[in-house]
Amino acid sequence: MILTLLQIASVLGITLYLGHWRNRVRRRNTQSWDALLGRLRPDWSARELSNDFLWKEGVSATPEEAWKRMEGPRGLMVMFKNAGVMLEMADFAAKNSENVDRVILETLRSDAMHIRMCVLMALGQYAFTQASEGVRVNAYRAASMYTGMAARMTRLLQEHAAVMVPDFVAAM
Amino acid sequence: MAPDTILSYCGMAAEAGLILLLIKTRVFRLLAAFFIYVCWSLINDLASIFFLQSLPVATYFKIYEIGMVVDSTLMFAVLVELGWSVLRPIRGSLPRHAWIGLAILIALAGLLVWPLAKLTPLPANLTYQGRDFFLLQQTFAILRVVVFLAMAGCSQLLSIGWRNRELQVATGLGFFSLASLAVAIAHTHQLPGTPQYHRLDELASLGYLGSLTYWVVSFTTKEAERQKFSPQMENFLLLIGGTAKANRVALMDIQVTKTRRKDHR
Repeated sequence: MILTLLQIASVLGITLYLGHWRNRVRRRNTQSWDALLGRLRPDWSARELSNDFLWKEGVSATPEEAWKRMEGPRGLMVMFKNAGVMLEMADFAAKNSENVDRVILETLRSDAMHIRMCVLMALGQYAFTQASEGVRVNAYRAASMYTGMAARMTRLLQEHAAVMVPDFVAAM
Repeated sequence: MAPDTILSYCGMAAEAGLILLLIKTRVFRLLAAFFIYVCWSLINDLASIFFLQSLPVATYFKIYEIGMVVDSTLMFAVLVELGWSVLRPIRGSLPRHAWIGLAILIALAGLLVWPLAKLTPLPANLTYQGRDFFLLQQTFAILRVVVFLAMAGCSQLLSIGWRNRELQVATGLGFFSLASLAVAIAHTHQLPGTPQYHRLDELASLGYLGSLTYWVVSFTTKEAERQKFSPQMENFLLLIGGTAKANRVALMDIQVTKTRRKDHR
């Protein structure tokens, strides 16, 4: 009887998860550029990692300092989410424009994927070894790429949508 | 007309329609294994009707068994193809023959699922051949669901996007797989040959027909039009992606320096 109930529960659980996942992918395929920009998470700022965050690329801290300043897993999660949005931006461009340089798109995807992989590795290691050297190095790699992307984004907004810069700076 | 016959004819009509649509929309180029699978299903269904009427039952079941092996092999190819096409956005950063690794991973999952399927109770009164047949059916029902779960989980974790056509094919296959799995589980609690057991088989066929109908409707519907992508948006991406390579090189340098420092210690 228990086995039967377990089987029914698993099939129902899997059905619900796959249904939910499918709806998310469908929504993702139809979202607008503005909606994508609005999804960049502002609840943790990477400005602690760099003296010129948003204006210059790179991290002005050692891996140990960077780990403290990014508030451990909290900062990592924000970078993880925002890197996902960057990936979706690349997908949006690939889907809606033929003129975008495919190599740049590939690089952007690879970059965002690297950030996510580094964050996942750091979080996985953190779960077992807390803030070991490996965790801090992976977190530092992710943070370095992340600050680079944020700085380039600011430069672009300055050039093409200066009105949005104050909001963007405040949000980041 | 018996419900079985109605389901069978409706299924064949839907398969024929789907084949035409796959050719018309040129999806057969993108998802060749899926196209071959649907063609095979139609041929198999037509041949089954012919063989059932003209051959002795024992011979028919032997042919049916061979058909089941071909069907399972093609389904395996469909799963590998779907997995590989989902990885398209990041193929550039993967080794050239990574699809072989993907096929091996799915095959390994199948090998793990086979003994798991053996653990579940089998329906009573099954012959030796019937047991193998039932296990193969159950293994593939579980494997399909496991592969879909893995694909969904990985793409969610790595934020990999799915194109509409791939998502439609996966939705249909996922629905059919879940229906098959539910029926396979329900079968373990029933006696083969009873009306209830047969009704469940009909439900599984209905699930397959549902997937076919969904595919036909999806492939008949035009894909959503492209959204506006301004030069500003394009510049935005160029800037974000522009110095990524330089960044990666710098990061590798950091790693090398750290390793050297460790060696000195």
